[in-house]
Amino acid sequence: MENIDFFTLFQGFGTMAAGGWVLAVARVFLIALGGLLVYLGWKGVLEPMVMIPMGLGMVAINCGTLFMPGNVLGNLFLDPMLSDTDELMNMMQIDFLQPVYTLTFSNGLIACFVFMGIGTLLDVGFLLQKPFASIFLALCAELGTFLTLPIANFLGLSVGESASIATVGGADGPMVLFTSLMLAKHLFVPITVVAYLYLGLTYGGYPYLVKLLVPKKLRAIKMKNTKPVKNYDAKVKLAFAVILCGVLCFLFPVASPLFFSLFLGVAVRESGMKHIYDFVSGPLLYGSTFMLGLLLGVLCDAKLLLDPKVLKLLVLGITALLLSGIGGILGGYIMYLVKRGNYNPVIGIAAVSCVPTTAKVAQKIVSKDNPESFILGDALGANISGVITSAIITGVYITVIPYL
Amino acid sequence: MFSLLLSTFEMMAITFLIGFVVAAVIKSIAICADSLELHHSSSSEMKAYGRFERLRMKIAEIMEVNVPLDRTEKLVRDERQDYVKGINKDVDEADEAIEDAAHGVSRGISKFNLMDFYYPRDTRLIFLKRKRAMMKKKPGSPEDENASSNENELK
Repeated sequence: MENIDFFTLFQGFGTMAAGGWVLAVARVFLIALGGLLVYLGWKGVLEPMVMIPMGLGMVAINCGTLFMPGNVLGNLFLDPMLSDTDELMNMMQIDFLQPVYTLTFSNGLIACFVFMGIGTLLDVGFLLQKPFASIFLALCAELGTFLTLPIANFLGLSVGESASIATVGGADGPMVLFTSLMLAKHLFVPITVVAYLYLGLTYGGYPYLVKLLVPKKLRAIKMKNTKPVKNYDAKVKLAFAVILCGVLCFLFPVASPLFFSLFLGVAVRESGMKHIYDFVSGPLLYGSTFMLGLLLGVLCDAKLLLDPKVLKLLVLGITALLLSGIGGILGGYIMYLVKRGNYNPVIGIAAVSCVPTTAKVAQKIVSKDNPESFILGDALGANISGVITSAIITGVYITVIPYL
Repeated sequence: MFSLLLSTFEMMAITFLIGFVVAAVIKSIAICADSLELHHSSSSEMKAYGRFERLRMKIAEIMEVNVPLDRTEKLVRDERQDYVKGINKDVDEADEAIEDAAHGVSRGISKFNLMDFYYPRDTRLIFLKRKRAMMKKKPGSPEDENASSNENELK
């Protein structure tokens, strides 16, 4: 017993000392950040479904570092950098989250599951009513996704890495995960973590952006419906899912798993398969989101995030989201001019496809300035279009970027 | 750097193009849905119209047998079809004095009423013929005389 010193007995502290002060500071910072995320999730400032497991995972992974054989630092959660199949099979029997990570996360399956669940939340009737206006707004709200690409490249990232971080501007977690897996696999952990962290912030940050860019008079605009609102039949929405899935898969086979997952969700919603709908919109969506949050937290190992590129990714991620928000509002202003004042420019922010958060944000802001103004239908149309345009851009990036 | 910026704009253009193609696809789905809905909502009316057309054709066949040829053509012709083609007897028979009047000038009170437009003469004739047939089945009924007088009027 006298041969065992304190650091060997309590390896959490031992690894702190052995890893050097930079790693120790980073671990302490991430532990504190994890605790903060749990608190903000609990308070409802950030999305609790992702942030609570993610925060707790960050705390656990940075506290639970231990000495592995060969005296290297490691953990018993998972190792994302394994590529050798023998080693991987070995690890799957040791690290308890390794099977979940290998079989669902690193191949994008969990992103597809989340997308299926999102599909069940989408009422495409709003999009069927005003397709051109909705898609136009959504395209404008991808400004950050486009402009961040050359900016990131200018800051020293490769084209693939730049495209991956630029997709944060689409405000769609599964898209970022999918793009980074395809174009910058070595950086997909920090990029995905940054994306989900910022996506949680849109709920809190975008209202300030809207208030800054749209004067109160315009925020309070009550739109008059020139045409009667139509309620489309379930079979029309089902036809929409089938036709659009076919068209988009035909255009971008590389992103077809995402298109398929999204429209499968829509098809399940509209086909009246109650038990399947209950499963996809409930256990599958919430289970996948929970596991996604947990894996993201566990991936926030200080060792992995001490990449010098992470700081750039943090700056670029927020730039992309900010530019997309500005683009969406600009689109809203263009629609305001086209419709000669009968359009609320706040709807533009809903085109940033964080379903359904940004649509709710838009309605909340408008209701505060004019309780009689109801824009949720148009906002959801733009929101759903945002998901579709994000998927299109993912397809364009994955197809074109390897040739640049 | 410049080439990447150029490529970015190209990708942006592709995305906008595809976006609008997708919007067009969605719009066409919506238009198809609307027209199908319209078709279904008016299908019962269409069926009724179809039945009426078939009946009218049968009646025309019957009348060819009973009525002289020159009269058949006149009686069987559906005046609504004429009206669709721009033939309006009401206007044709108007005073020649207003033939050269400017477009939009009223030609006076019409001799026709709504019944003339919505119920062609042949339909009314068949109705009266049937009525007469029914009357004949009940000889001595007081309406028999009225029916025959109606027939005389038509002849």
